[in-house]
Amino acid sequence: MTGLAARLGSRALQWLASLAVLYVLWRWVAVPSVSTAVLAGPGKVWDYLRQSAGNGALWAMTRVTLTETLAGLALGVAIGILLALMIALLPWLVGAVLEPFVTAVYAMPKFVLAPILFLWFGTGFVPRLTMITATIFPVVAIYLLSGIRTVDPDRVEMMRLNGARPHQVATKLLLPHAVRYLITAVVYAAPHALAVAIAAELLFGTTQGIGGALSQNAQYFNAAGVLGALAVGTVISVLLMALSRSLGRYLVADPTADGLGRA
Amino acid sequence: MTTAPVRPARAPGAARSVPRRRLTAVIAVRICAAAVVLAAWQVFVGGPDSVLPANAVSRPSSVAVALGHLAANGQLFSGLGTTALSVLYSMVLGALVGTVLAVVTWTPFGRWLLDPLVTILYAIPKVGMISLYIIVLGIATATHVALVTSAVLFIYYYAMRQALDELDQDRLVALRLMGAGRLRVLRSLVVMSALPQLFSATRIALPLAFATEIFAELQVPTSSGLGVSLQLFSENLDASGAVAVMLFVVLVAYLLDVAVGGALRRYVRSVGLGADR
Repeated sequence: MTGLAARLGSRALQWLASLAVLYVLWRWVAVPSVSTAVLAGPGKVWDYLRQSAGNGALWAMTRVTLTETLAGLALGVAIGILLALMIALLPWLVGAVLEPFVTAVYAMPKFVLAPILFLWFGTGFVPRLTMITATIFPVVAIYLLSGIRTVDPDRVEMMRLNGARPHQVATKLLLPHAVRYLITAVVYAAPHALAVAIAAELLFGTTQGIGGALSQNAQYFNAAGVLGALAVGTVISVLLMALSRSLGRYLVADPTADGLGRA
Repeated sequence: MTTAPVRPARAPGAARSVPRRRLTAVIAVRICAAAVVLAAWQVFVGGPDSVLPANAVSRPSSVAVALGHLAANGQLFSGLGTTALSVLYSMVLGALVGTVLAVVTWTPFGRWLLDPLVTILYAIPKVGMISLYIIVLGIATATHVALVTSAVLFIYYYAMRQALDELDQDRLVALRLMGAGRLRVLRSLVVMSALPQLFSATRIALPLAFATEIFAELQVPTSSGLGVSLQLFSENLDASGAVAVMLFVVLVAYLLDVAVGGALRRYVRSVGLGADR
């Protein structure tokens, strides 16, 4: 117990020291070298955050962006799983058509969809959700598919010969086997979904969410507001990363094993 | 990490998606599917009693005309030039800043002091920083370069850090014993042994840089660039032009992916490393 306390203590000391460095660099290097009129110091950003916490703006932007992120993540994971299973289980014709589609969506910069989505859906929740989903589903499909392909094909054949239906092969063999690949994909994708959500808010010119707060404050050259909104995004991002990583560690001993590269 | 993940390597001995003998059939099916999609798009969009209006996604014939027009008047290629130049500046800057940052913090105390700071800076949703750069740098190419640099430098930082962690300690000690200074060690050992990591960092950073540059151009339209053209067509509700530029961007992104992947594989083979890292 004391060992844990000591570890937590030294960790807190490390973070305090690092934050002090950040404060000094920001307050005494960055702000004076740009201009005190243009770039806001830590004090002004803190004032902005306190003020927007008081009038509810802070919670409102967090709610909008977080809702989009989680909804896009859920939808993207669902579509990704569905596509991977379709490619793996349906006749090869289906895979031959779907796989290049998934790869193409994976490789393309998703931001180019913005003008088209704007023409179709305007600036509301739907185009933002679409953009986040389009970012997530190819990652999930590609990772899950490479997990599914490590399953011994003879075992799939055996189950089929014994009369298993495709959904039984999926739920009893393929998904349990490939679950760590799925988790790796989600660990990668979660912070990415947040970044795309903010990008979509900026691209579609909405006034809602963190992106909305960013563009509105930028319009009035309010650097304190911009940095405050960025700080909110950073806190959510850190929490998402920590949450998805520890969830991955909890569900699988090592989510980055199997030669999948670094986390 | 929020970077786009590298596609996982196929496990050894795993079943391939498509047996070799079916390859021709697969290609035929893909061409047929593409033809069906294009035909349906041409027939069902923009006609007198079709489902979707033409201003939604245009039609293949008008997109082809717009593409030909844009290629002929040089707008596509000058846009590509502007975008590519900005990406190049940002990649060089990002690689420099990232590796220097990793080398400078290459002491136990440096790591201890700056690790949480880098974690915080890394977690900032980079796209949001465009609003800050607009205030500080204005509507200019510098804003694009600043945004893309802040996105890619972390990839190089973490790659260089990993390289330093995996440094051959025996050779390091040997060099030090022979009286090599810090700079000498850096030149003759660190840089050479970090090359594989820096190469694979480029593999991840380049698509990210391209996508971020397109975002920056859409958000902060300067005078030219692929994202700028896309934004202009979309503002004028010219769906054919917008779809034409979009397809061109997707093509460039795909070719970039293939080219860098191929270069990395060749490099990895030439230095005799086992796997694509």
